[in-house]
Amino acid sequence: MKEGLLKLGLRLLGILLYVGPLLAALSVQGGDFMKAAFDPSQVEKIQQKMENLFQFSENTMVKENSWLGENGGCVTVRFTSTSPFPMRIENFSGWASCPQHRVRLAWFELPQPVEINPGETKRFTLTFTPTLGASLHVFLQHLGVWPETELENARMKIRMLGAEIELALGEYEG
Amino acid sequence: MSWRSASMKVNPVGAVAGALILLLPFLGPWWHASLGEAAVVELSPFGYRVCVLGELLHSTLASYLLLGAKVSVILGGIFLLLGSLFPGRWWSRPLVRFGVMKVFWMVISLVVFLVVASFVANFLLRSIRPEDVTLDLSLPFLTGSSELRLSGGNMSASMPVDLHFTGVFWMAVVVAGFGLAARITAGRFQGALPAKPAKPNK
Repeated sequence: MKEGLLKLGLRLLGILLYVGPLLAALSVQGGDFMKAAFDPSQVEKIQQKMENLFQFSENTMVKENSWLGENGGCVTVRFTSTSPFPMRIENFSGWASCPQHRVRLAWFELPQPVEINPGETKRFTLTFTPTLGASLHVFLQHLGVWPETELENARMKIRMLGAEIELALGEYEG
Repeated sequence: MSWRSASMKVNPVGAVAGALILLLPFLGPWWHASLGEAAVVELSPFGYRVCVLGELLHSTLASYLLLGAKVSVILGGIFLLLGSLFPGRWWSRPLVRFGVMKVFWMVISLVVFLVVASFVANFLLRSIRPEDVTLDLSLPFLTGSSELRLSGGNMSASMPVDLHFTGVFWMAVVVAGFGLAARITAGRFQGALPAKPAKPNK
């Protein structure tokens, strides 16, 4: 008799421990099962963050000072991060071309990785290595005066949130 | 009372199982999954942590149900401990039965849940993918590593995926084993109970 009552009590306790939390969760959310299961407003925040991850605008990356000669050169780039997460530019490389004749004058690359915090604006320098025919082209077509170059076929490798992201930036005029 | 006679009145396997069950809800997640540093999922039958892009996701229903499971297991542990320490009492058998298999079923439930969730996630990843994006990801079942590769337009990305059971899960498996053993051995210790009087034959 006593054991039977205890068994029944324990069985009821077991059921109560499953049904009770379910009813409590529903009552906390005013009886709305969907809201109790998952609040959709949380997804909106994540969507917002995802949209900001790669929101490149014309102000994201601006070419500032550029100089190229027969022994090499460099270009300063101002980069403003729109990402809500810290990122590291591991590599940024491509070609610097003569905009008038579409001749590749130099190969450019980032000498060392750059760390950028959320919303931060950072300047970094890309180094130029002239191509073999660059000096000849400048001598013949530009009377020895090195023209202002245009960056093209640029590829940027970023590490963010444990992911490796490669962006093909194509023609980039800054 | 000699040591031997005192110890024979205790179900040691059940007592150990009860003590370990009491510890289990406070040891942390049983299973961990991560997608780079972008998303982290940690699960146990007593709690969860889902963090996507730094945002913690919360479900009131899941929190309350898991709290219920936690209370249920703690009570189960206490009852198993009491029932094993006093196997000769009339209330010992029902108390032991209440708590002894809880962790075992939790281990089974978690594994089944994760297998089903892996199937569903793999299916969704194949079906929801936008047309202009190439997605290459096959989620491992339960445990393992792979890589998510995503490409579309002028961007490609790769991200490591890692799923694994934590040490606490393997401890839970051991505790479930102790629970099973305690269930099997409980009768031996409860055999000391005075037998019920047989019904008189009419």
